[in-house]
Amino acid sequence: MLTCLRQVPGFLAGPVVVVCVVLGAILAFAPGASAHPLSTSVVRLDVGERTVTATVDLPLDQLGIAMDRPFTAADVLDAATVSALRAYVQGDLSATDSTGRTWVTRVAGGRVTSIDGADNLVLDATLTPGSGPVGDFVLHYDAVVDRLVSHRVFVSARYGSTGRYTTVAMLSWQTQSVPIAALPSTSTTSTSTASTTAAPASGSQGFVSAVHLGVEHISGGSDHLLFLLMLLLPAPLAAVERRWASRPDLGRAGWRVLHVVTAFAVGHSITLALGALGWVRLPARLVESGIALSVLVSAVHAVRPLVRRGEVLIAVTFGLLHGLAFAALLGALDLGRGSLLTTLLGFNLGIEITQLVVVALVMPSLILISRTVVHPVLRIAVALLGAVLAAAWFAQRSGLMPGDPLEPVGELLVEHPLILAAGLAVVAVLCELARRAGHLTGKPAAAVTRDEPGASSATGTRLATAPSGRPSTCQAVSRVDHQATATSRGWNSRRAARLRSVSRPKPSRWPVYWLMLPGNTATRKAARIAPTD
Amino acid sequence: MTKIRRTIVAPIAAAALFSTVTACSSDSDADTSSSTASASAAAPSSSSSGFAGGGPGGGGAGGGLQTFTAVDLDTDGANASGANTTAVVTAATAFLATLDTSTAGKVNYAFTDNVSRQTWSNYPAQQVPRKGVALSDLDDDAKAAAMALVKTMLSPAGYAQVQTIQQADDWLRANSASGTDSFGSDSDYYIAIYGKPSTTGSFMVQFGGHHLARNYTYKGTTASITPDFTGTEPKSFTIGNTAVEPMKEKAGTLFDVFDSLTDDQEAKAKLSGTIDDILMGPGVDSGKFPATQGVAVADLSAQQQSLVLDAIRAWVGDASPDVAASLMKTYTAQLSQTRVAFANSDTVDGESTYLRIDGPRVWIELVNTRSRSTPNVHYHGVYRDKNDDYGSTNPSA
Repeated sequence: MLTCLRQVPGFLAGPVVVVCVVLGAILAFAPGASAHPLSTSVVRLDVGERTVTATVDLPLDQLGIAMDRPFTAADVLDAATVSALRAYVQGDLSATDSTGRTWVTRVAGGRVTSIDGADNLVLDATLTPGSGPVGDFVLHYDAVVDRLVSHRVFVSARYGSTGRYTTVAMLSWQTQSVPIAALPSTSTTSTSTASTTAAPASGSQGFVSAVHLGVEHISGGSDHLLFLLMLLLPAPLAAVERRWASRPDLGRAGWRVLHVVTAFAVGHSITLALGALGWVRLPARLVESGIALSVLVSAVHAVRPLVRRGEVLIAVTFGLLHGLAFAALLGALDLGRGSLLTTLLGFNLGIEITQLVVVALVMPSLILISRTVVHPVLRIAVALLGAVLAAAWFAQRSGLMPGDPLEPVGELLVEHPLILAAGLAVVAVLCELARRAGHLTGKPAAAVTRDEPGASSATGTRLATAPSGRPSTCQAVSRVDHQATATSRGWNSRRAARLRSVSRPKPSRWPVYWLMLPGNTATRKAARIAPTD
Repeated sequence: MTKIRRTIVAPIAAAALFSTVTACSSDSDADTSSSTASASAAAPSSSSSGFAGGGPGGGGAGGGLQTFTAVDLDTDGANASGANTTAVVTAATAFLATLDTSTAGKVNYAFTDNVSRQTWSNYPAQQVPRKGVALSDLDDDAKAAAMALVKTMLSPAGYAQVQTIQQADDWLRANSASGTDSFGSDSDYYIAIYGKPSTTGSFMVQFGGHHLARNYTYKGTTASITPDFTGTEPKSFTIGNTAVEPMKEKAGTLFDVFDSLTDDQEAKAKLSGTIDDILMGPGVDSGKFPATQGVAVADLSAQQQSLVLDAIRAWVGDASPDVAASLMKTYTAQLSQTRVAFANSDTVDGESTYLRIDGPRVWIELVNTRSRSTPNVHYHGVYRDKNDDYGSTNPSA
């Protein structure tokens, strides 16, 4: 990467660095870190036929006041802490049916999500009748409110696990329970007030809501997107001798993007269908870890091609894993058989639409940038970032680590997507402008500006950064290697080839690395090779 | 499991499309229930709808925004006597006369529009839009007439209280670290009139904005002056060389009560739960008050009892003198059945210091709360009358 940086002329390195610094500053000083006195809890209910699942958002600042100890996004997920909090919420969350019987409450999960700039502990709960289907019930919830009297809890519900949540009540010190209607078909008292307030979002909205669900799911599932992005990164390039080389052919770049997106779609569609039908099932932890691994693999591939046309291969094989994760989501929706096909199609369509949005947002900038020597810097930087995030996910999902230490970093990124997209576009435009001015092309300025022979001979082969018309700072007089070609990683000149043979020996010649250790002379020797033929 | 993924973070460009796509799927935000008048339909903080969202990623923290659900209000509340209704009607009529038809239409509401009458808040107007018209939308004559009306309704101390709270908002406009564009003594304060001002029928004048709500309901020669919200951020500041402390009288007299408590009394006065904002704030109009708790004023010394009366007077005394005298007579008579309580701490700058006076009718809360605009705690205070808010009998009664 350092070698790539050296190839970026100073005048553009400046703006690029400035853009990065500004982006960083915006992210770092984003509002939201400060406590907000009126953050509220949210309980979202998915009313199913056999069970009611609930997602509970607990703002950490208010939770901290209630528990009389401050929580941070990191320490609230300590095993002992989060399990104590699960037990606390489990004791304060219950459902009672019309005969007065209390259902079984189970609280699980535990993750931290930033909502409106405030960290929330998010727990998952299930409320299950002792026997029989879910009928009308009364939800009782007083976590946090029982200790922090001024706290408020918004309760919302939906049916069929798709579509809108409808706010049913705001619980506070005044009231801690709210009647909730069962699914319309199983409702015992269809005239109850709860069913009129909370019943509109039924699962029969079918196709359109399934499309929405697909869009929502993949857009919220940053690992899917990151995977796709990693595969797109090298799309404008061609793998040559285990390296990425720039390829000026726009049409072929387009084909490759199409191949990648199609391959991913084919892969995940197969297992989505198989999984949703219940024919294939893998443990969630395995699937989730595999997905993190897929991001890691695609990130590595973006740095150095693993296999020729590897991105298509990676897309289709790991697409199978991603499909299983999608299927698990659909499985959790508790769908009737009748609606399965429409939901499946709609959900998949939503995923494809979102993928195309990613491509449309990212590819134009990437293609513009790929015509300049900025691309390798960007590609490798983004790929490394992706690899690090993926490694952290993998560690967390496979149970190697209790929490994801990088989560706050990523959350900041998630919260400012437009700035990031705009930043990428700005870099792309800067690159394009520089390219049109004859810079950043990876070719000596002499070759581009068609200077007189004397000037061109003064520019040297290594890197001609001096704009034409200004005296070159490089005084080494040498002949230009006119057969030199630019690759995404630098010069492919005869000199470079010779340097490579010394400084990057084949693995069969490991002992040569010994020579490169400090005090040995291999590299200095290499440097002494005349930069000419 | 899918939610595990949702929480996980995206890299640079993956994040880029995140916003685009979430914009498409914004239907996951919760609806506002139809019986609820959302006060924040135009709230700029996008994801927190009025009835804070239930969608994935929606709602949570910003959901402090208030909602107003109409309750049944009547005109049979235990109003104070001695109202200067004639003067108020004259000032209100004069104010309305300065307005053109369209502005007058915006200022004047039906007296039966309960949801609008209940629409007051501690928040800036940008977060919780008010009814009526902003002072900044009035010409100089109309604005002067509006403030003259407010002045007529209040005692000199009450009007000074309005002015200092407005000055605090001007201070915020100049100094706030973050928050809102609507700060300012003109742009953040609204006036509305409910019903036709008359010396015989019922009407209400509502004046308020950030940290201020005056809801004065008149019926003949009687008046209701609650719910009444006062607060200030910051607690003290300077204008030129003058130190301003808007809540000095109200907070000072109330802290005097709690400072006077013996250890034994203090133990009885301390509430078990934690409270970090007023409980009977905006939108809490169901008529249900918290269960009576704390140390009985009857168990305090005569000296301490007079401190409690001083504290009550600091709030009631904002009204015109005869109205205040009438209410003080009632509250004094009920003093032996009144309790005082605190939560968290009873120190002036304590975190979430919460003080309360709770009588058969009088209800006063003062709390140290926080915002993103300034680094220190600031006051929220509310005064309600359990039998006379909005000039109505208790809605649950």
